Amino acid sequence: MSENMNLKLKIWRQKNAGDKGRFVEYDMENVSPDESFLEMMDELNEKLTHDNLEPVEFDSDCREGICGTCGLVVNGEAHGPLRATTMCQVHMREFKGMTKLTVEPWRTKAFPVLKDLVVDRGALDKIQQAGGYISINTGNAPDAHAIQVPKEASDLAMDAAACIGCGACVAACPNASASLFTAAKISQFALLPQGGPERKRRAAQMVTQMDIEGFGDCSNLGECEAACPKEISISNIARMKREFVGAMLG
Amino acid sequence: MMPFLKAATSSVGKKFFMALTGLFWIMFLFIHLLGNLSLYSGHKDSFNAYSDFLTHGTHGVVYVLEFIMVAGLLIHVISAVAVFISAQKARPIQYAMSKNLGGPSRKTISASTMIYTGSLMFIFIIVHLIHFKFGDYYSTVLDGRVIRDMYATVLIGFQSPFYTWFYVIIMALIGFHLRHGFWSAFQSLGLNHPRYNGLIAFVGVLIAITLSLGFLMLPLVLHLTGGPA
Ligand code: FES
Repeated sequence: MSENMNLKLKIWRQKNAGDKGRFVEYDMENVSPDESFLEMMDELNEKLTHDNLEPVEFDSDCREGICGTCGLVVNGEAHGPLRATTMCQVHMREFKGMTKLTVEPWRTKAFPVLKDLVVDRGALDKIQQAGGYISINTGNAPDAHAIQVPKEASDLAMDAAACIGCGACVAACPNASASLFTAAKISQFALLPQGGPERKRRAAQMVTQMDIEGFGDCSNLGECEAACPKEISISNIARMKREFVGAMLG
Repeated sequence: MMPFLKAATSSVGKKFFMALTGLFWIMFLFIHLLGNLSLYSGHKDSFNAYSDFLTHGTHGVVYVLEFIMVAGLLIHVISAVAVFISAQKARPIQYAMSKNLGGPSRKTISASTMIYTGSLMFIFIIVHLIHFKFGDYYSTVLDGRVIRDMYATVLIGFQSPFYTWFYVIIMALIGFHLRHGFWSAFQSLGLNHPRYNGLIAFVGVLIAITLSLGFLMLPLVLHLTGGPA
């Protein structure tokens, strides 16, 4: 039987996008190590509501690691201390032995804080809209084997397509670069024949949009890969560079 | 196809040219190191002959090379500063707590200090040129011709403890810069392959150690021994 935990939470509170924001400390007692981090946050909010205080705003949806809605920086780690895991899948036992947790939102100019721990990740959508699609005529489903795809290529494309767009790569990057996200979205098409016809335009437009959104440049530090809940490799960033250089040189 | 200038100044373009110019300078450093080896020989003539060949014996080719080097350096430095500024702008509010994530991350001390080691190296290059190329001029006679006694300039230069230690420290920092720089250049050029990644990183460490120690030993030896007898 694990013992329940007593914690001091230092949480970023910010009324709205215009507010300067500050840290506020809360005590949480008797936290079960078997509840999830977000459940602990729910409990805190129940307490706050009960005390007639404003609950802490944070994002979550599926709570099973597939939608990419959740995302917090806890003690300096995007999605918390457990690798290859979204925040919603982290249980309190991962914080065993700790007494103080600092909880912050994703920090980058491109993701303005809307309230408390909730940020606007619309910048990622804009990158996707700039070229993360293929143009095909809709109609009858094509024959399953009309276009053949090598197994290796389809595996790599699936690995890239595992990106859930949570933004942890940006949050963890010391430069606040969105390169891993953009690279994953470019790669999932670049690896497949269906992505071929538009590949140059796609790479050029998505990278350009990434720059416009105000993310930092990539310094090949690799913190993004370490933070990614889907373990997307920076080899995708190298692929993005090849795609882009292809577009640059002709 | 994108307009070339727009592509070249984009986030990916900047790093692409930073990588090319960085690798070019690594090549130059190896040639420079080979040239320096003639200093160890203790024969001032061989070093002076080499230095005279570079300045007078190449029929102007050296000017072309110098131009490429200066241009390459400026592209490298300007891109680096732009990347650094982009990072500052992209995160105006820092985290209260941050941690290196480890695992597949390559965020080492050498990786996160590139802008600082780079800045010091840039200052060094200027000092180095003033100190030697445009430094004190001594003459000597070789094969009946009066040429510059570069050997004397070097030997006298490294009698100063200040210069010696300045050189030694910067040469150590070069090792740090190249440890991340070499691997990073390949990644920036899009050259990443699971079969070769380990090799590239290994060669990067090897190059960093070779160049760092190679350049570092010389001022130290000259300072401590006063030059080969
Ligand atoms: S809430 Fe859906 S991934 Fe965490």
